[in-house]
Amino acid sequence: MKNNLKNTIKIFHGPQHPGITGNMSVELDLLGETIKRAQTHVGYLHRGFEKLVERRTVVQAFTIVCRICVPEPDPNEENFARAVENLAGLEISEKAKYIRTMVLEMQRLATMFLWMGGQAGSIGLGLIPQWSVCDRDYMLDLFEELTGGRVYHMYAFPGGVRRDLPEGFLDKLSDLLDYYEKRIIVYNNTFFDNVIFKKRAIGVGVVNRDEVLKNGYVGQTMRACGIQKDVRKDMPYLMYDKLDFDIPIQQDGDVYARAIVRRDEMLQSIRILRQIIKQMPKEGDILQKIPKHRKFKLPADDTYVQTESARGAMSYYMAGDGSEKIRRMQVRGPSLVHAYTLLEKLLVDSELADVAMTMNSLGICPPEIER
Amino acid sequence: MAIDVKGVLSPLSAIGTLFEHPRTLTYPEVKKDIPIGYRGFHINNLETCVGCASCEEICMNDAIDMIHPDKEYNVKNTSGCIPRIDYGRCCWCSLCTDVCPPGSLKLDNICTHADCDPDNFLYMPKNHKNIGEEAS
Amino acid sequence: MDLASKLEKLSLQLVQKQDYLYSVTVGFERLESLLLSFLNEFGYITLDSINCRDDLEDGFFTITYCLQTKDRDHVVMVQTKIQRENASLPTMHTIWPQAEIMEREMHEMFGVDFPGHPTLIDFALEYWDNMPPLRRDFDTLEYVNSMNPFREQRGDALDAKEEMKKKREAKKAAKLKAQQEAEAKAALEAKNNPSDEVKNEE
Repeated sequence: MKNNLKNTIKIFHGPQHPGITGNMSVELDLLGETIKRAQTHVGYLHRGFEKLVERRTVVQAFTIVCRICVPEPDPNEENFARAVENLAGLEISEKAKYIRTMVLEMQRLATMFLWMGGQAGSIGLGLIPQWSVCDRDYMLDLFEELTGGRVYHMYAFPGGVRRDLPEGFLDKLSDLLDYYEKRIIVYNNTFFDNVIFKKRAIGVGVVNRDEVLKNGYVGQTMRACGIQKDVRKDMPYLMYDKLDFDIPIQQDGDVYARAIVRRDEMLQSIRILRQIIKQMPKEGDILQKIPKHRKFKLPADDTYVQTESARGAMSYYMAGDGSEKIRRMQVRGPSLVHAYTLLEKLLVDSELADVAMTMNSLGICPPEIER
Repeated sequence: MAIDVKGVLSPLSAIGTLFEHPRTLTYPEVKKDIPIGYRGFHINNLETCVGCASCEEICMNDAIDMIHPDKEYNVKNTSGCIPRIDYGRCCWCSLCTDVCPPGSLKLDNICTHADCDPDNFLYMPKNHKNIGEEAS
Repeated sequence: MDLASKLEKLSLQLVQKQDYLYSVTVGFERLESLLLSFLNEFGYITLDSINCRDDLEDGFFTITYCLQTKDRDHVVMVQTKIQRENASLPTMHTIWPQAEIMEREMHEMFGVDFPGHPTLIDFALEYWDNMPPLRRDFDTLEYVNSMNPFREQRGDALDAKEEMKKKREAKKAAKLKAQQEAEAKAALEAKNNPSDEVKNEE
């Protein structure tokens, strides 16, 4: 490959580029419009969460994990809470489980709307981002009411959730789901069936199906290649084994297939939320009593938890050492492998204009790569 | 190559939204009401604050200082101090309000503060007399 | 479980940690061969992540390889311990391509060396010349204090425990003083009109 690098121009795509999904850059070697070599660079957003956690008690560390991925903080909170619960042996009540499942699915919908804006914006369909970010805001309004924060919820606490449902919340959620179902038809007409999107996306960024499982690609990247795997089904956590939903798949493995998988997942999320609204217990504890923050000690053990985020499986490795501090917490989001192993390979021999679109469809979130 | 008729025509349905009322525009301006549980600025009921410094201890950002108030509000205040919050450091996680033993420290739904002097980000929680009673 | 009996033949023990989580501990010498047999014989084709934990007090790193089968219905953690000083691990990037980036990160954050790794360049920290930051003897607070001065505006902060002690002592002193005063007053009054008490008793 190195022989081809004669007469190429070097372009840094990002970190300040509207088509990039955050603060990272892709170093491209271009021959005309064709990319001959791509190299991912991160380091513009390194905040050192894994180090910061070492200095804090468990209760204090809980408030910073949601900052690991900005567009979807809730899978991080869920992972953290479940890892602590596994280590400390806490059991959470059924109502808390339902509420947490609900928050995760609401977050999935919100993230999908944000993704839709990015995906459409990256190919120049300026209308869709305007709409989808507005639609996401309605979900953020509900989050604001439920948790007190719009983006950083800090809601799923080890041992349950921090607040009970406000009065009339489930009705509001139900109304919003009705609205979303109507909106998805509109998005179908204007975006998913749009001939511009189809022409740009079909056949671009095709992931090789044989290497998906071995290389650890997750989420829609995997499901768009026809592999029907989802952490919610395979290793059910919270209430997912009592809820009825499907795992949508596509066969082509290109950008368009991933978009269609995401749209179908939005419909599945709505379906899950409707079941949760029906099954939500009226009574029940929401938060188990845990010791005070200086006395809450984790045993010397380690655990590994996985949650299906809106972009794929997100895993936490957590180890305690018998003191009140966490010895090690390692975050493994879907972006790390997607941004390096996959993106660097996918971009070779593709066009410069497709870089932003490919990145968006892989669900790359730079804050989670470098933590 | 066949033309994708549906793909060409269906996006044109977006023209219909021209005749809808825009969702983002509220004119004359309507202020959005902020829900009750919103995590905004701090308020402190000085009549019940006991000065135990639990909030200072749990704050992982070291945002809270205990200082002397201008006069004595609560006779039972064990240290004679009340919390002051550095909003340059606060992350509004509301752990300080969770641990407050008398429940005097609360988060209000006011959330705007603009100042050019960084020293003014040291925020003295407003004294709200009736908060403790409302909660109980 | 089937895997447990297979591992028993290699005289290794499979421990169930959680519902979908198993772990096996192996010596450093047998790590590479065990990972290869996990991949080729047991069908654990996915390398999910490589984690490193710094056990400073005992002087070693605990390395965890998280593996999954193609069903992805459980996770097996293969754990090993390596010395902290001159730590070195065999590179897995020829078998699992994603190990390249995970090992690069571990090299930067913990200073673990991977002989034969092609790109041990900077990952997130550019021009970092201090000790690898995720080692636990690296003190973040000290580093930050040496790099950035704190703003001098919160000097009036008080130590609440000290204040509590002070106030308690002041209260005690005030109480004592009040008591003494009351006694003195009573004594004074008794001196002035000694007949009062007698009258009251009557």
